[in-house]
Amino acid sequence: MFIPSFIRGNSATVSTDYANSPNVWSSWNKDYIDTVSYLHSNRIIWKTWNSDYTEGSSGVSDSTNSFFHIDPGTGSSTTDIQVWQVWNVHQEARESTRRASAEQREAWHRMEQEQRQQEEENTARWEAEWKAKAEERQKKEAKAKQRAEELLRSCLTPQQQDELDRLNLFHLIVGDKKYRIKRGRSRNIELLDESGRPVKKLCAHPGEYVPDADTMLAQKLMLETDEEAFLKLANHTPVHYPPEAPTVRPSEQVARAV
Amino acid sequence: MKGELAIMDTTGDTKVMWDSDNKDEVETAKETFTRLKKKGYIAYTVKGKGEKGEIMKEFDPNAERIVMVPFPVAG
Repeated sequence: MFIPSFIRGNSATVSTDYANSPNVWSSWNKDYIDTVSYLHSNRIIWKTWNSDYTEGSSGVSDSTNSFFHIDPGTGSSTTDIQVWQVWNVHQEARESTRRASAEQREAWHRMEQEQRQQEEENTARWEAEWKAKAEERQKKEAKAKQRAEELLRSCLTPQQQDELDRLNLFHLIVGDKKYRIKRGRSRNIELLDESGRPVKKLCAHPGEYVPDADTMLAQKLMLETDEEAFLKLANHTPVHYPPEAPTVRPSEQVARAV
Repeated sequence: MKGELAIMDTTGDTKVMWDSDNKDEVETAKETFTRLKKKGYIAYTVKGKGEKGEIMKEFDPNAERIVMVPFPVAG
């Protein structure tokens, strides 16, 4: 037999003999009468009960109301037992529907939670994989840079190595020309004039990607072994300087003119 | 006499070593040299202390160090 939750909740004060519904009802009513002592007849009790337990309703019999309640009527033929049994049947149906809805909601909620958890796990796994790959790539890049640096240094003079340490560049003399090779891959070579000022930038490098130190070594080797071919291949960008400031101030010029 | 072939690549460089008395090692180094030359690599013999390098047309098993550079392009 179905046991309404509020009856179950009152089990401390009412009969727990659920198999014997008249006893439950009587006990419940009795308990209710104790708290609302001026109610005596079943009908008045029932109506009052309906009123109290109908969610905001006036307590009038209405089977479409969200909280089912019934009017035992005025006839003496309506007994406590009948009211209880009718109430029980209807309430059980209603509770059954509510339970089904609740179970469905719970199932949806559980499914949503599982999906969210799955998404979080996937995101965490993806992030961990991405981080591991990034770290691995960084390690490889660092190792490649180190190898290239060692190769470059092994092909430089002590003076060039010193320049590389201090200035991140080195100078290269080819014939009567002086070049400056800066750390980098493109536009990193400068042709210098006699005063050591850049007059043009040159750009040519290995066609495949190699670390910067490898590029610098390749540029050095190309320039010192076949300068003409390198200059023919490279892009040239002249370096422009702003006109030099006048050595004589305008006020002095005026004074001289006078 | 031992030789070293340094091939520039994304890892910095890949080295192929050989002993001029070992025919197999010399042959492997020569094959690598020839294959990369066909791909457009330029080979340079280099010496220590930053001495000027030289372009190498043919594989020389007596070379101490060879650096192979991918074909250059304008930047």
